[in-house]
Amino acid sequence: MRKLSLILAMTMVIGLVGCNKSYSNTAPETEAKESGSDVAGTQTELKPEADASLVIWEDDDNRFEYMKYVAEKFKEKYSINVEVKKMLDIGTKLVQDGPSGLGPDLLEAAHDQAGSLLTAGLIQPNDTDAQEVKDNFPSSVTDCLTYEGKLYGYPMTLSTFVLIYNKALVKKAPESFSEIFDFAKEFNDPSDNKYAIMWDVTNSYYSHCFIAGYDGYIFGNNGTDPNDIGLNSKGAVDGLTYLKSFKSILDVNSADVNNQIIDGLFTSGKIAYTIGGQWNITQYQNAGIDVGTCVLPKLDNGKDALSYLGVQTLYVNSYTKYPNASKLFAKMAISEEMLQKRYEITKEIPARSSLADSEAIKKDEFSSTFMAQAQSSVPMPAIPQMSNVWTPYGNAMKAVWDEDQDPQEALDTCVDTIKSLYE
Amino acid sequence: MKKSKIAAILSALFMGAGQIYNKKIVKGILLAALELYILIFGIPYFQYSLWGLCTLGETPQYFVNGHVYGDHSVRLLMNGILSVLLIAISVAMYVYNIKDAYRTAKRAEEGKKDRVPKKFLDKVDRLFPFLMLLPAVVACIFLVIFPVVSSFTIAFTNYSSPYHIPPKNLIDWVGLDNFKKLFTMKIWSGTFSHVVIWTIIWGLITTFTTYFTGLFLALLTNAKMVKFKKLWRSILVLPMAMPGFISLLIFRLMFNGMGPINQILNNFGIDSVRWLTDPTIAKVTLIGVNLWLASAGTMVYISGILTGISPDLYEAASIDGATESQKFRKVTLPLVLYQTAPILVMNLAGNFNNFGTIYLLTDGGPTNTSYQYAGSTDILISWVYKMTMNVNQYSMATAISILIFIVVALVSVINLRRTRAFKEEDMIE
Repeated sequence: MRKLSLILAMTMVIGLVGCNKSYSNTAPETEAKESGSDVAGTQTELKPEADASLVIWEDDDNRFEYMKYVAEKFKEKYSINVEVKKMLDIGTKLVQDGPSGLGPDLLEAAHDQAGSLLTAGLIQPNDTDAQEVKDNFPSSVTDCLTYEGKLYGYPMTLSTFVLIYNKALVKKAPESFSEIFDFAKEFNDPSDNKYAIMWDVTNSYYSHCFIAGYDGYIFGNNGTDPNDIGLNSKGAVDGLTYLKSFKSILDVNSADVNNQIIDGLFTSGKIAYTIGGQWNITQYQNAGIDVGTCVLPKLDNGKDALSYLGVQTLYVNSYTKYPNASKLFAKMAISEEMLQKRYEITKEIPARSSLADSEAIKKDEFSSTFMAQAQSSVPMPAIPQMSNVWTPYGNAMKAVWDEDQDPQEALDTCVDTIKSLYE
Repeated sequence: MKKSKIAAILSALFMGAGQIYNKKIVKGILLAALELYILIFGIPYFQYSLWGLCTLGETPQYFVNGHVYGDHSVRLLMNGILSVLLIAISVAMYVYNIKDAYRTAKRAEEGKKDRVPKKFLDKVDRLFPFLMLLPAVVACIFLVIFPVVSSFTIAFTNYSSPYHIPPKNLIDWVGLDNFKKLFTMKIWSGTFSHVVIWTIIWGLITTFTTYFTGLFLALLTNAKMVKFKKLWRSILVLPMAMPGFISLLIFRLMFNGMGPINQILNNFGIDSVRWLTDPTIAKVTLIGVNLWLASAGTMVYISGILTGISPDLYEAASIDGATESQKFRKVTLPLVLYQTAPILVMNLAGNFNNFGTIYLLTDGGPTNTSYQYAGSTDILISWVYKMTMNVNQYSMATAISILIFIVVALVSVINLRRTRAFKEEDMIE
């Protein structure tokens, strides 16, 4: 009896599995046909959905103010409600909430963080306004946002890092790093933790500027070819060797140099130079330091150190219910008027070409430095493979800095590690 | 044909039919309703979910006019496992239904009395234990079995960055490929074997050092000659009173190469020690800090056991002329070990997975370039964390988690079964 019932039950289950029908989630026929005309790029002006209301995730206080300003203007024009929400750790939250439809319609993120969102398919390609963006923004910016020939997102501002110094300790901004080496000879006092320059040495975000200055690169073809990793090329090896030379004036273990330590030493006047971004300047000023900035000085080969260029970008969530309204909002947010407003609120360098020469930026001591640094920078690769680069790359720097490993050997290992995740 | 067989066949044809034939109308209708529900609503859902489970989706993500389409492999996977559980429950119900019809009819044939009481309240009484157990069974299936099974299945897929992260791309079943890679691909197997060895050393050393330090402290604070016992005990318990992660972060700052500890050493003319940046010293530091953090706990519960040991035993030992060390070896130690052995085993399992201490103190560092995404002090679980959080290698991380699970489960089960505390009611005769 038991056998009989089990056999009957088994046949039922097998019968279920046996059905080979596909249940794939595909677009309805009508919609697929409509899209045919879009491909040619002849789409007319977008119309917002009738019942649209938008939600935006924003992470920073100042940017939050700006986004609220745009939201007001957007409501005046289209009478669509826009709710701006402050959210920390937007990327991680979107991974959880995006596909279930609980995410926002739009979100702001740095373009390099977007690599992982791109891998996960959480952000939409910018199909409707691609031409508009290409016409009004420099190619260094659009390169950052292009992946497999498609443009993703709406660029707003640029972020990069510069040399920051304490005016009480440094009289004149240095032209080259060798001046800092000279300065270190009299300034350094390791027993009192006094160092001429200190930055997060094995953080590849910062230290790639030396490798890039020696013609090392991550991913060939402007950071888009995942098969040409480029990190064990001769340039990269020379750059890393040069980075190692800093150990003669900064004889510390890389793991001991973290942001807390650097901030503490800089604000207590024990280090004269550091490498950092906008966020560091405000912090140091608040601590009562007379902060000066200048573009990264020249390297020993006479070339500029090339900082990473990041683009703060507004992205449309893949799972938004109101793609048209979202795109209209994003388009408005990157207009000349709005980005000018954003500069006034956040002091971030606008990405739009027409605002690059603005008088306000030229007059501002810090903004002008960042603007100049943005000119000698390399875009951070946005391809998804980049997320597998940070750790091995930083490890190679650590091995060379801390363990005296041969730069070539360390970088070969690094490239092998990155490649091992490709299949 | 016998009635019992007819009832069974009827129930096999349609659930509840046999029960109605046996004149158990309410039960029969309920079972028939269940079958109807499964046929109408269940079957389409099962077909969809099983399709999803087998294929893990067929269409990668694409956009039409800003609207997104395509299959989300991980959701299909979860859905599929859920429906397999539901199918298993349905099948169990079906088998029960046939057996029940057969048995009831059989009892009637043999002229036995119907087991089901006539009065309603008595019926409820009979069902009571099942009603009470139902929430536990449901919770066990959906809160324990479902998540465990569905996370285990990830190990047999290629769910990993950069090319197989849903919803943009689909993931596929790859069988045992991840395990093969782990043992045969040099870049993985090298890391794996080193991390496993350190994990075992870490688990054993931390368990035994904290246990015996705790025992030692407990003996000290309970010794007759010690004054101010409460004061010493309170001081020693302080590390437990502070949240562990705060102490660990403070230790991290203190042990920093430029931190206060090295500054003090320098003031005495001693060179800085690379507390957290030298692979070997970092391991020693970790074990030391863990000792500080965890031995207080052992001390507290061993103290409890010590006060529970009857003074008669010591008195008798003294009369027999036992020395202090003999008393300790023959009376105290066996009694304490006997009562704490289960905790010792659980501590061992816990220390294998002692993520917090490693992550907060060294974060697996210092870096070791010959390891794949692991540092010199990473144990398996912190390596798994790095693989999921930093590089999104979900499938490989789950494969390793399964191995951890097997080892920890085996050690725990074998040890617990051999521990006398679970076998004998009373050791002292």
